Amino acid sequence: MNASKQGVSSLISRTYKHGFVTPIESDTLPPGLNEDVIRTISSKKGEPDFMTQWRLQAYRHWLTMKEPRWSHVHYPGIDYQAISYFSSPKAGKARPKSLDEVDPALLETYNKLGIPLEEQELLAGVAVDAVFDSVSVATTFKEKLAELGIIFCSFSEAVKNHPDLIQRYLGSVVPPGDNFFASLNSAVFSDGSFVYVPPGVHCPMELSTYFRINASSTGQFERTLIIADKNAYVSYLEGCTAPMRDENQLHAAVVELIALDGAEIKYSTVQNWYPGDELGRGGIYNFVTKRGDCRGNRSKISWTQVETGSVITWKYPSCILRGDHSVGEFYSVALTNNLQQADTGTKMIHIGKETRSTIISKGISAGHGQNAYRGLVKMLGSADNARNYTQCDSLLIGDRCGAHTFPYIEVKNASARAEHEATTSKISDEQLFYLRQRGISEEDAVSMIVNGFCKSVFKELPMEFAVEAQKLLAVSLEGAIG
Amino acid sequence: MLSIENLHGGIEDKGILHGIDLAIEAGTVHAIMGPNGSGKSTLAHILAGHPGYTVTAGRIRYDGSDLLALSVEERARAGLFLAFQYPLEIPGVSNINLLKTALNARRRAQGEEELDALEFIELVESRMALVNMEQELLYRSVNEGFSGGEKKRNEVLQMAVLEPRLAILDETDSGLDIDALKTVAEGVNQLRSPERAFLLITHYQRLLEYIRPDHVHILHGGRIVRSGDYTLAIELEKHGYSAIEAEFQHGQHHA
Amino acid sequence: MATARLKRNFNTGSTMHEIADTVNDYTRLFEETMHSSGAHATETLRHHRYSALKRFRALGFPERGDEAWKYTNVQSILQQRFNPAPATVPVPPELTAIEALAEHRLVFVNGIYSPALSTPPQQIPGLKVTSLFNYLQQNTPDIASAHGNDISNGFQALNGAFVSGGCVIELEAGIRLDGSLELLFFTGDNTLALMSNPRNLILLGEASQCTLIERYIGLPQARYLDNPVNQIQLAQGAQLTHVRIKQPSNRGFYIGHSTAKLAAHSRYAQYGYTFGGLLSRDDSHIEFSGPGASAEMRGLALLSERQHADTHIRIDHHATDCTSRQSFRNIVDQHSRAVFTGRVVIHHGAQRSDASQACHALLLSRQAEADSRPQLEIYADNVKCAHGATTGYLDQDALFYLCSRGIPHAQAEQLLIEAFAKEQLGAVAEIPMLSVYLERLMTRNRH
Repeated sequence: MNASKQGVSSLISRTYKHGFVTPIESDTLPPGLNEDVIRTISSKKGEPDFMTQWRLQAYRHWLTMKEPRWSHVHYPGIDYQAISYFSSPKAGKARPKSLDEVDPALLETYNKLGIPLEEQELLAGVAVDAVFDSVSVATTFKEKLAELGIIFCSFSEAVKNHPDLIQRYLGSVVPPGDNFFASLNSAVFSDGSFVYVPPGVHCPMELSTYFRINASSTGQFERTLIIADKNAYVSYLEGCTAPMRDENQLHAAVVELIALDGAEIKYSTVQNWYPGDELGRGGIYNFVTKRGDCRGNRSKISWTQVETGSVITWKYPSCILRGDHSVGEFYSVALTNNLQQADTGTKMIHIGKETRSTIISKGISAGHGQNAYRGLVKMLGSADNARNYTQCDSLLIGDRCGAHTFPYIEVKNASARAEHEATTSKISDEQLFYLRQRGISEEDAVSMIVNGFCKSVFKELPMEFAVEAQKLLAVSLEGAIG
Repeated sequence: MLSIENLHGGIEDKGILHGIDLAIEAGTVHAIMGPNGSGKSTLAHILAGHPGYTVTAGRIRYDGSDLLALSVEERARAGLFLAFQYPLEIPGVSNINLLKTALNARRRAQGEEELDALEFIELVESRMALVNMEQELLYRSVNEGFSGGEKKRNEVLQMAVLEPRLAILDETDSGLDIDALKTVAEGVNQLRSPERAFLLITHYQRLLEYIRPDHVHILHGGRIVRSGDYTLAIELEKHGYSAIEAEFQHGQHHA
Repeated sequence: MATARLKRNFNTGSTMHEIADTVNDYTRLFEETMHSSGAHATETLRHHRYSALKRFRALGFPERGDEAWKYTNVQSILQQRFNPAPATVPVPPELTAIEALAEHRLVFVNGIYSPALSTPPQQIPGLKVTSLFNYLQQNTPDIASAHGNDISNGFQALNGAFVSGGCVIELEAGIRLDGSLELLFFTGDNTLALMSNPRNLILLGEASQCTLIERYIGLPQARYLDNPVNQIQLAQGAQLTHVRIKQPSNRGFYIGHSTAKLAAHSRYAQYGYTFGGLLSRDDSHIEFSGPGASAEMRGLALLSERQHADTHIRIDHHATDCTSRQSFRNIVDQHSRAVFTGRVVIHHGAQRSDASQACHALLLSRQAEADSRPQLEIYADNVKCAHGATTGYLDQDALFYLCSRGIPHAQAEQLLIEAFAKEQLGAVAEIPMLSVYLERLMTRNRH
């Protein structure tokens, strides 16, 4: 135990390695929110009228709503008038046509983050949409994907170029009045990614969005919409980082997934927003609504998330299993260290017959971290022979943290079956001794045990992400023991 | 290689060892026998550096340096290996990952290059034959769902891969049937070498039929009360611990 | 849109307006009835009633969005007005037919003690049974606190304001009672909508031991509100087996609240059985205040028609080395609905706590519903906590097995349902009269 005590402070100080700020000129709206701000955002983006009206309706609804307080997280109130709702790097009037036109400072930022935007680079099998503060700065591999009829572009472009698809699907999974943060997002969302995979097409590469908050005092409100048409397949990855700042920044995204008959969407997230420092100063409030609609028969939506960042995480990637024989999956690793709080889980709403859902949640609490799993499994009267299996495991590291499990199981169909299991454990001194006796350092031993604990989730991640996630977990845990 | 002088220690405040003296030379096999509660496992845990055990007096030299000043992992990297009486289960951590991490940690500490995946697999496969272990167990989580015999063979496999200089086998024979015992003993015998020493901790003489020790020590009440060669083990088998105890207590009264 | 529809279904509950009206009505009722002679037998009682009323006005009733009442809508209770029973209400003939489950029995009719129907224990050394009002004349007990901040919902406060009687059972240190003691609460009138607000104190001295049976029976077809409160205190090493049987009428409401404070090494076992009732809700709050104590909470709800039963448990591990076990089973048929919420809180420093929760629900009809929330809140690392929940129909393999032995399908189902229920008897199976009684209720044929 003594070995790890030395150098703990030095470890903590290098914990978050994405904390740099890119010095770039920004076009940022002054803080504050009213209908004019929303109109300004809409006009800056050159949106058609239907979009402006949609935003305004959401805003008016939002004004009638109260910020939710039922979750197991605590934070001082947010002053929504102190946030700037739009910030974009100054780069002329329009979005660059090719990477050559992208500001080199931005390309350098993404290189530093390990996300090269040059297409032939390291992540050759991954197409990337890079979102910097409020706008998408570059999307790679667009042409190659277009040959297959796949649309992968920024949300703003989709609004302009594919208004029919937007009008048809936007808000059809997460309605503008769904919840407080989703409504706010619907009113002010700035950019995000749009994906459409046509019938029968198996998307040949991973699609990925990399979200970066750079400007201070801004919120990030992106919106992602992914549609997999009949028998289509797509795997989508999402990564996020932000600079280290003493203030809290709000990230309120909405993600909507739609899977039609026989389609499959796999959505993976490695969330590494700035978690605040060891005293709980700064960090991102990550209040996100993610929901997938298995609209077609035999469709499948699978969420995998590795949540290591943010000072507060509040998200429940969910599946509405509407189509008969549709399948929903949720695999999650959530880690809270220092003063981080997470209230995360999923909702599986079984509507169709023979629908299946699986929930595997691994919560790790260290330091003063508070980690809550909250999950709803709901089986409606129509969900004949629906099945759910849920497993929630918590690992506690130290006696100052908290691990909580709040499942909600609601079954209205006698032929349906829901099973839930949960366990709580700690890293035992004997396990540590065993590994150290084999010559493995205490830090490595803890990391090994934690990775072992998370194995059943990591195996769901695409290869590159799985390796990233393991490293991230080790870094996030530094200083947690001793 | 190892010299223990006047070692006192135990668990937290409870004294268990009351002055152990023992010297082990490279290339020799020592057996420590004793009844339950005599302090056998305590000695093994103190040698390996278990944080739950405390040393209140005495010193331990290992290859000329102060063993007690080293952390658990430093001792391991210096070639001290403990085969556990109750090997731990570690969910999600594969056996092969443990072996590779441990081996490379040791190689790094000794300034050697880490083995690449291919070299490593070759090494492990060559060692697996020693303990007659099935390949499949390599990819399972450490000891999870292993039978008692598989766990003990797995300990010997780790020993064979890590090639320690001093191997301590803590009741490796307990809970083994005769076939498994033979396999484990054969594995150990093949690892005997002039550079390597073994310390066998056992309750029964049975193991010593298969692994012949050079020296046998009887531990009682936290002290080594008798030392001798293999014949001491046979004598013990014949008369049992009670005879030794009686003799010892008798002797103590007159002391 | 389906999602919008789902959301609406989530938000069942009463509006602020309805709640305020109801609270005002009960306040008026309090002013009208509680001035009558006898209502304030002592100054202490008067004080209790008024402070509880104040609390009641502050709390109101559970409203829309209250997580603790997520699955139970009390609107149907608020739509009616229940009155305290006048002393003149005649004893219903149905009552004389109810068999006793123990040698010693205290009977309360509409929350008021009935000496004529009771067979109280006499001259048992170390056991003292007093009526609540008499007890309050001589003592200023801890129940004062129960009228204050300990009250977590309006029903509890309502009980405090309108408390109709109850008993205080005191067992001296070291006394082990053979046999059991029964408290029978019979509520309902064919013409009046009555409410019954009994409050019982169970105080067990060090290393004392007893078995208590608490039974609530409603007059068939009567509309009423049973609203009891129990306060239990176990001193060091004390052991209480607490069997609670609820048989509300098909138009009756039952809202019960029990708290138990457990000192070091004490043992509390609660066996709760709910059979029917238009709406029943039972809250139990267990607090471990000393190390090494244990609590076993077992429960069964057997429901059909439009019955609704909600069991709500909270266990606070404040001390080290305590064990809590929860095992609940719900069987829902026809349009009925069963709810289970069990929360275990392991507080900071409560090391070596061992807590388990199991909740199994059996759905027998397409219209039935079961909701389960086993919850763990853990602030200590060296603990053993686990929970499991299953919801569904009978095990098809078991059914097939029985049928393959020539047993008709319906009978095989019945066998498995009964087996599922009877497992909840636990140690109660060894109490002769009681187990026979419960088994009979469990084997009632399906409709």
